[in-house]
Amino acid sequence: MLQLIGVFFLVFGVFFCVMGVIGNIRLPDIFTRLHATSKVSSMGILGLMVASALLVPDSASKAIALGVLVLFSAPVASQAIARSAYRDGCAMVGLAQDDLAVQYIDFSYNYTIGEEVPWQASPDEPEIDPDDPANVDEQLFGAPDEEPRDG
Amino acid sequence: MANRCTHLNQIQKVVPSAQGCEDCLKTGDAWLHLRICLTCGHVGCCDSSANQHARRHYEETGHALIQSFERGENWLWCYIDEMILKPRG
Repeated sequence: MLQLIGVFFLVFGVFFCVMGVIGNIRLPDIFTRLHATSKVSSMGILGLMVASALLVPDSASKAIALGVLVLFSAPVASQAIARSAYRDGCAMVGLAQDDLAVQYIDFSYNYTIGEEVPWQASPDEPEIDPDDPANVDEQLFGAPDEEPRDG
Repeated sequence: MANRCTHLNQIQKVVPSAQGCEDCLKTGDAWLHLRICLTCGHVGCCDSSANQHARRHYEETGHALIQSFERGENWLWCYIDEMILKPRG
């Protein structure tokens, strides 16, 4: 009976490994490929470790310990890889909306609690046309130090 | 992925309306973090606060751009485009 359950977990683990390989070949970009390969290192390895614990009782403690460690470390590793890939600007295929997107603008003043606002002291400054969207920061805070880059 | 905020022309040279959440100070409530409206200087409390006065201010006036009014934070948020903006550099 123990053997039968062990074989089941063996098949379970191998199934996830095979699916991970297929996914790695077929999926289009790094994020979806990571999604596939992280199944190998979590579910696949975990299944194989449980199988080896059941089929080879002498190695049970080592296999269980390995399985638990892999279960904790594999998702962290894939998340770290995905985050670095995103920060590096890797393209996402079929992306409809990017909730992490940040737009960099020419705006330099940072309001903080209790700080005196610099333009309160000098009321004689020229009027600013608020409807002109040309360069908000240049109007408000003077010309920028460098040429604006397209961010 | 070309989502860009188109409301930058709302940014004005504002003076903070209060040193705490304006509406919470009136009612004696507490807040978590402060946000300043970049169109009129209204200081309100964030969405994690119970009263969400900054969002209410946007819904009442349509002033879409806020900046964090917390020490050490300089990011901006556009309620309409729902995206974070950061000062360059």
